[in-house]
Amino acid sequence: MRIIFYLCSAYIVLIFLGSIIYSFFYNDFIPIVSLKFDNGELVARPPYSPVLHFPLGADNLSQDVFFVLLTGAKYTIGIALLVAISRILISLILGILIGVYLKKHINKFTGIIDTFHFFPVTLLVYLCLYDILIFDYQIDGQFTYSYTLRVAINVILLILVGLPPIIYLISKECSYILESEFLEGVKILGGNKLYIILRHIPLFLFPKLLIVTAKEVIQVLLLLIHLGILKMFIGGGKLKVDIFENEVFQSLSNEWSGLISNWSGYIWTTHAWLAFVPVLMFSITILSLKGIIKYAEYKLFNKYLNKTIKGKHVSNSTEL
Amino acid sequence: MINKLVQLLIIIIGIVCLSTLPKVFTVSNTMDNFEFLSSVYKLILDLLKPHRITIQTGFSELNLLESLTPYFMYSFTIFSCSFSLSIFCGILLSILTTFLQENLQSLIKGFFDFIESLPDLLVFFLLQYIFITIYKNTGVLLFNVAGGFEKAYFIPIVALSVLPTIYFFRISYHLIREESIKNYVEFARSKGLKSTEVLVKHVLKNIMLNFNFYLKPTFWYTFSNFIILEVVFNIVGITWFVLQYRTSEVTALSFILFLIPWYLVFSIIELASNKLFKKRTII
Repeated sequence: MRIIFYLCSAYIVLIFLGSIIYSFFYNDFIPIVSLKFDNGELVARPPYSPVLHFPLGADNLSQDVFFVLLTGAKYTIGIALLVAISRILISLILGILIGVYLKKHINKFTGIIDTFHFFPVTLLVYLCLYDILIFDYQIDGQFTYSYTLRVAINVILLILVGLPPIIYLISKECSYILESEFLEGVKILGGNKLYIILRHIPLFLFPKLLIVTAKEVIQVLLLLIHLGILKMFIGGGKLKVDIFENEVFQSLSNEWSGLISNWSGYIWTTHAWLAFVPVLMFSITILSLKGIIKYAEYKLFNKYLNKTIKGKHVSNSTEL
Repeated sequence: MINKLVQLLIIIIGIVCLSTLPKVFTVSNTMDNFEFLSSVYKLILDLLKPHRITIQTGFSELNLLESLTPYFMYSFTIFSCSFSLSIFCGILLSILTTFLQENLQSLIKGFFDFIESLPDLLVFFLLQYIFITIYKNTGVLLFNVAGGFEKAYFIPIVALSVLPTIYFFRISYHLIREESIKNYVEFARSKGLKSTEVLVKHVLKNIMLNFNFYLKPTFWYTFSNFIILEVVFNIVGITWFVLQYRTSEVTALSFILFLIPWYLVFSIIELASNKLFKKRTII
């Protein structure tokens, strides 16, 4: 159990830091693979399969796939972490306030929360950003907004879209904590609501928050995958000409979800492996996050068992 | 009952708001709060008379409801079939698993846990790749390829059912395990009833109440998978329609039409099971 946990964390830290360090020292240099000749005859042209070119082959722009993935990793994981952490921080503040001060009205929010479930988030983000990231470019080949602004709008939207369910979760958790028996004692001894927020709620909430954050990172990664297959990149893309002389709308920053959309068409061709590469990278990242979550839940569960805390605050919010 | 209807109304209004939201994010003109609210209001008024909404295609105007119906029916059939199929298969699988040896059970559960944590896109890609390989090697075309004139049903339904089935399997397996250590099961067994009989007649009946509880979350999960499935398998369905026209009326109407039948089903199940449960506690 512990070994798996270390392996999972090591993978994520390694690929994230490795990507940053690579960009720091080599300035995101991606080796271009040359055409393969044998006795002056053309043997193969890119895309190369992993067998032909170690370790992961080369893509249609004859770039080395391994380095493409490496340079993209920092953006994908970085954005996922950024979005997830900001979602948690914002909803922590709002959730605690709602959970403590509007405790009786929480159940009225379920309708609003349900809306976000019945309206697929992927499509919401896609439709919102379509005009800025895709349509604007299609008209005259350039964007109205600058790259930084586009990325900022994109990230902010990703943050906002995920907020309501987490706010609901945290406020529900808070109201559970408030119902526990020892808080009656706190109230009788003169602790007001602010004191409870600052002193007691964090003790119960923070261990679970780690798990919720990891789950949120997974959610963002899934959302990025979905946006990738819909051909939407973070911050938009531009047209490049590949070796087959097709014009392809390419991500500006080798970011993994952009790679999905670039390469997903290859599933119909003999280069089907190329479509699987970025999806597999996403899957490995998600699986290692799940490994971390499992270990954390196991630890947390043991801690609760050892302390044998009675009461309602051992709620089932971490189950689903 | 009234509570449920009010909630449905809130959800519909929420969907209307969300489908108006893209209008805020445009390059050309920025919208202020008042404009946003007025366009929400306009959209609600439009939706009250859905047969009058029109959409622009090139130079001609089409009636939205008429042109949406075939796409909607196609998507809805696929989705409903595969959702029902996965409920059935999930429960069946979990029952079959409980008859196996303990080691085998945990192996199966571990395997399904693993598949469930994979992103849906990978599963769809794998399935698609498998179907293509089958076609290449045997020449048997299991489904109509993208843009085919006939509508394909078999493959999308199978592909969409995989993940929800595993989801339902995990839930019902967990519930059966939880239920079967209770006293009454032991009592029934000690009376000499066969374990199959106990499982089917008593345990299954009792887990249904808790099982209903998970229907809605799985519905959401399946729905978001469905959107991606349509894109990956090139199904010309509701997602295609929404992405083609991208106006708030189209988005709102498609999702509301999709949601209402299932919402009613869930509400009826919930109300019925509540009633059943109340009766039992009184007795």
